[in-house]
Amino acid sequence: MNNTVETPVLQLKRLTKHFGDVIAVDDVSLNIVDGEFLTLLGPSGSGKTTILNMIAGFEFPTSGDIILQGKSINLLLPEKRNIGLVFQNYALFPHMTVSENIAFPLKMRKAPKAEIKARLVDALSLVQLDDYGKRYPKQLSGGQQQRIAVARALVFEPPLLLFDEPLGALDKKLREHMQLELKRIHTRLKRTMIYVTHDQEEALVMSDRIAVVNKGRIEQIGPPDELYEEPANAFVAGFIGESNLFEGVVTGGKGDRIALTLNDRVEIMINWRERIAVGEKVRFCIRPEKLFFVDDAPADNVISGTITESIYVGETKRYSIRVNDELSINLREMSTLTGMGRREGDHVRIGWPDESVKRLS
Amino acid sequence: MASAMKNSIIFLSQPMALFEKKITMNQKQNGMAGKIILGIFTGIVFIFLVIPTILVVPMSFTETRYLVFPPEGFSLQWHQEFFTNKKWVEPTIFSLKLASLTTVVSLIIGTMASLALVRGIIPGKRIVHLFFLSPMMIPLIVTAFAVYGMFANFHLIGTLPGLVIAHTIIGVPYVILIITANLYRFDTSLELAARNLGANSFKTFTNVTLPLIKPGIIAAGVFCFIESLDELVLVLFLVGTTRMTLPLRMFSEIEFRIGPTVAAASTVFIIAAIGTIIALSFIEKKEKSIGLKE
Repeated sequence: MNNTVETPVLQLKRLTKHFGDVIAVDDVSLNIVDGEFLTLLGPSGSGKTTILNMIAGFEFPTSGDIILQGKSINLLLPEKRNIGLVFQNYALFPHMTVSENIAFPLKMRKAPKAEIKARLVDALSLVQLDDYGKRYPKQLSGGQQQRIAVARALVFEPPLLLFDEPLGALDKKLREHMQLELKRIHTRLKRTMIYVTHDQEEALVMSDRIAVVNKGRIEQIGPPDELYEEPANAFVAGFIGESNLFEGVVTGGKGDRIALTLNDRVEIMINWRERIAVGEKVRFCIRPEKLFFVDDAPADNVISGTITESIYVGETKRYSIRVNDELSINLREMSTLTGMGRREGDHVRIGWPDESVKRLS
Repeated sequence: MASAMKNSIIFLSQPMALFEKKITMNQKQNGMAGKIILGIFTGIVFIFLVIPTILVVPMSFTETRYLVFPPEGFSLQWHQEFFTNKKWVEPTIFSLKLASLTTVVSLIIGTMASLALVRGIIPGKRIVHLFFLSPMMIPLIVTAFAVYGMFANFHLIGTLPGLVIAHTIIGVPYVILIITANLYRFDTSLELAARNLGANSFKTFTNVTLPLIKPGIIAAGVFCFIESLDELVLVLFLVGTTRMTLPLRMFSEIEFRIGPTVAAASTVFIIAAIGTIIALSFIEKKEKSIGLKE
């Protein structure tokens, strides 16, 4: 019989790290299965790099467990962990050639010369820099250095590969190219990877699963589409993509609709599946691209306001609509639809489909 | 002579570098003025420090039995004397031996101390750092007097180990000054990378840290070597009666009668110094080409 439950490559169990009075990582638990590409996504200072440093062995956890392939590695020195790491600044050894850099982990493992040579060729061809072995790192471009760093981290075939914001220093075009390149390497080698970034777009493009980290805690973990479509709370909704956040008090309802007052001013009706009592507070979000302009007679799911800003951003056009002093809504529509001549100062009514209302905790 | 060279290297290279930076900034604003000021400054340095040193070279080729400028005739006899007469050869070899040993010992102690001062967790680190540099600030004659009193008890006067220890006292601060500057600029993520790739802390040091601070170690080594080769005050106190260093031989020769062999010895010194500077600039050029230095 097949073992249907896969043993995770890496398990974090209630991992916590204090720096003096500061709690950098707060009770983080996580399982990563073989071949998975998991991204730790969060703003700077959220603790994501500290988590990575603890996995790599550069920091020791205050409490909790790190279990690699079934064994606790809490007290293991970094050089004994056999985990690949691609640094933010590449950390290539400037006094060694590209070949010497890539051969370094193999030499440290006392691999035979012939094997080093064969693996070196493979690693260079994997990152498509076959002829660059004799160059020094500083003679390569940023993107090439990055690829060498990836080759060096892969060459000793670690069961787990870590990336610490490896594309942060590259320009936008190159970054997008490298994202696809890393994705290609991941698909080809099926290696387990943990990727740290603050760039939500990068996380969405590359990951099998994303863990959103904030203030040392994991806010939500799941596949990219799930995080985007069903954010668990206001932080996730705001951090992944754009979001309109609403807070209101329930004033009544009929069937699966409830009436709400937003900011004590605006009365709206929305779709709400769960049971809820009058007077309760609710928080929900609607993505800007789910909103649309409506011209028709009164209906549910409608709110009116004035356009304060309209920005053309290529394939889409963004509008800022002021409902009242405290409430402003962002709406995005495809540029192909914007033939209606809406401009700043226009009074508009906007609507949304029932299913676009996402309840937040 | 070597003293003039060394002092000009140490005390002028840093202000000059600052000065050059300022000039290049000024150039953007008012063009030529900066270049002229730099030219005048360099000219003054040249006249007062370099010319007297270089004048010694023609003087060493004189035919006369005394130093004279301009030299009369042309003769290699004083150079021959320097390279063949035991009176000169023995002190030269002894000085080279002393300088080499001093350099090795100073580099080992100084590099280890620098690592501790930059990386270590030491209470009162700044004070400890200053303490290590203090032999640079204390007048040499005071150090010499203090060391003399102590060495007499340990029967170190007139011995090679005694002189090596004394010169190491003044060599270590140079090493610490240069290596700590190197280490503060060191990108520690390179060491983390080495550890991550499977190197233990010792292998990380020998494979990554040491090669990357090598330029600093070479520079510090050169300073130590010249410092020891050139040093006279400590030697006067500690050399005893059986040994002789080259500067001491030159000094006593000048005291006694100003013979052209002193000029010949100086010429050899100058050539060696220029050779060292050229060699260093070649190393620097290679490092620049692979981006180790900007």
